Amino acid sequence: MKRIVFAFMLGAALATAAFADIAKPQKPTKAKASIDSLLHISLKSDAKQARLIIPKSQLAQLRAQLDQMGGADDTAAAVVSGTGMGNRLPTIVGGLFLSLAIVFGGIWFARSGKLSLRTNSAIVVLIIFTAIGSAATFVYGNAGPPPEARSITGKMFTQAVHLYGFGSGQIKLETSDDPDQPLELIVPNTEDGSGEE
Amino acid sequence: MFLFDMAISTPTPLSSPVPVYDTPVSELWKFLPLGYIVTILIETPILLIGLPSAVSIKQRLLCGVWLTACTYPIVVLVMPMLFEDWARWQYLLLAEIFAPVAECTLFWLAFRGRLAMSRSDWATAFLAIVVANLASFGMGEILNYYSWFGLL
Amino acid sequence: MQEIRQARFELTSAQVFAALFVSMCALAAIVIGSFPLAASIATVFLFAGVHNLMEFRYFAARMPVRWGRSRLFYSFGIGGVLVLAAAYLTLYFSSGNWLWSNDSWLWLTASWNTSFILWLAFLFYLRGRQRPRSDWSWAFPVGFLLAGLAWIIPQYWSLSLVYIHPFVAMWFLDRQMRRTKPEWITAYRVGLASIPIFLVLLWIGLARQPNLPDDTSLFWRITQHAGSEILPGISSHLLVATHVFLETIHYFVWILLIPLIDVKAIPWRIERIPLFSNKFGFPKLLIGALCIGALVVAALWFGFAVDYTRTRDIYFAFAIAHVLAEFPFLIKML
Repeated sequence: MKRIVFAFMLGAALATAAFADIAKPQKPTKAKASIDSLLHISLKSDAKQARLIIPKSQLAQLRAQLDQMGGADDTAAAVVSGTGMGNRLPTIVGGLFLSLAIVFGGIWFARSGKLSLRTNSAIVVLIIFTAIGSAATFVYGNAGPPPEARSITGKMFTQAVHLYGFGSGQIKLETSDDPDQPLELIVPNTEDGSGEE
Repeated sequence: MFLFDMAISTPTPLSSPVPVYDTPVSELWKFLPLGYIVTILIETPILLIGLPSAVSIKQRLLCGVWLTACTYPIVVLVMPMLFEDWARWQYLLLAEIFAPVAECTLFWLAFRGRLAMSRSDWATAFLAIVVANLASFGMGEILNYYSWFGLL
Repeated sequence: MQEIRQARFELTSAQVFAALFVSMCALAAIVIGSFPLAASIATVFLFAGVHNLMEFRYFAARMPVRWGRSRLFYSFGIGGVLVLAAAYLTLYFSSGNWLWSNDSWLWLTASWNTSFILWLAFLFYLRGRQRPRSDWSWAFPVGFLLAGLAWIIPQYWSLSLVYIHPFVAMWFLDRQMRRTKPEWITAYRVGLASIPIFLVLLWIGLARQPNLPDDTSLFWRITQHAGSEILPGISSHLLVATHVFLETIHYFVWILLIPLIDVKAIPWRIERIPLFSNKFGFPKLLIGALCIGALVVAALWFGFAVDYTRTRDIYFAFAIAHVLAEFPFLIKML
């Protein structure tokens, strides 16, 4: 019995590692509109907000490419919903678990006979926890990544970039069909650039 | 449901066929404790009166607090996220069916075999729970109509 | 006939223990508060591997030869350690894999945390079933609540684990002391009560200190581990000092205090380990495991000396296994 259980656990443990090597699925590649361009990243102390400035000439180039590729079907939804799965899933699952906690807690409390013992103090404790929880939902509700990861500021860049005050390199401008895809700057994160000394 | 009115359909310049809703998640969290308190203030007196005599006063008070606490996170947090593309009336219909059914089930799970209740007592208890939910729903609609009298 | 006695003050071993405990905490608070980065580097270098070996030694001594009624508990406990550790390492080392978008990273780590919490809840429930007149099924509502928090506030949840983990060792010491050195338990709890005082003193002293430098990758890792990016409004000097202070106590509990009060935990007294001395035990397996453990400790020291940052990363990735392994044995002692 022990051996079977151990074998199962070991199999499950190895299975999790196996999933990491799942081959990339063979999707039919669809031509995407893209142009080669140069991205200049500037660190400016007087800038109030991060901006991605796309010259009209390059935008016109992209639009021309898109028109050539088939127009309306390829155009992306311009509005980002703001409620991508990344934002909704924690709320959905968190709300479900919150409900489950209250359900199981109440059933245990009711069926364990504790209702008749020190119920007043239990109610006081419940009220205190509810008040703390309510205050917490105002402050921390759906707390996400730390401020440095939620705003584009100089803190994202290494000391070397700060020394020069700018950085630049080759970049592609692309469009996306996914209406949930936010505006994204994808930066290659090579081993050399991982922050090792 | 108050916050579902805040779901905005944003027309897109490239005419996306499906309107896109912006549901303010943080507002749902902020509404959760306030809506819960208002709901239990409405439902608990109904349960105090409507539940059968086999249920003690303390048990009725706890039911008023606990039953709503079980279903409220799902109605306020989970459903608006899952069904954000639904029309308001569809969401309300589902929520107002789910809440009383779930609360009746929870009441039964909590007290079966613990209280000496006949079938008619159980039916009375379930009816009280349904009435309490309908009352809180009705009051919620009134509050929504008057924009919660500036509270939100 | 009357007997006259002189009142004498006699120092008991418990009082000596309490005095030493509080003194060492005070010294640690002063040194660590003054040089938190250096203290972090030194303590991890010197004690991290050794304390893991001592933990393994202690768990080996507590493991019964035949599981009997506890078969399900140990199977689920040890199996859970293996599965959760493997899943954690998979998540950690495949972070560059194409599977991991931001969204999938979020829900995968939250799912791991949920599995961890529910595994703990089930262990509590199983332990409750073994105790007469106990109903520990309250573990499930508590587990669901914590799982909800892990989804709703994931960063704070992870940080709370970092700071709660050191206290697990102190809980072990408390449970063990009740069994093998009950006359010291009051003195120990006096010592424990001094820890919040030292923490408050550290916080008062360091709250206005500027942030520690994080211009090297090592320093950045140390400050980030203590939560500097999650709590940017709090001085990283304070955070690192707090974390290192608690971890140092954790190391000394495992390396010094538990062997002090439990003969079975003294490293060279392997004849006290049932798995070694019992005729149904596994003496060769146990000796082999201890030898491998000692080699790993030596390898860690070598690795720290050659490339501290990389070795630290690898160590803390694999250290999740020891964090997980503590829980089944701790719950079994309740």
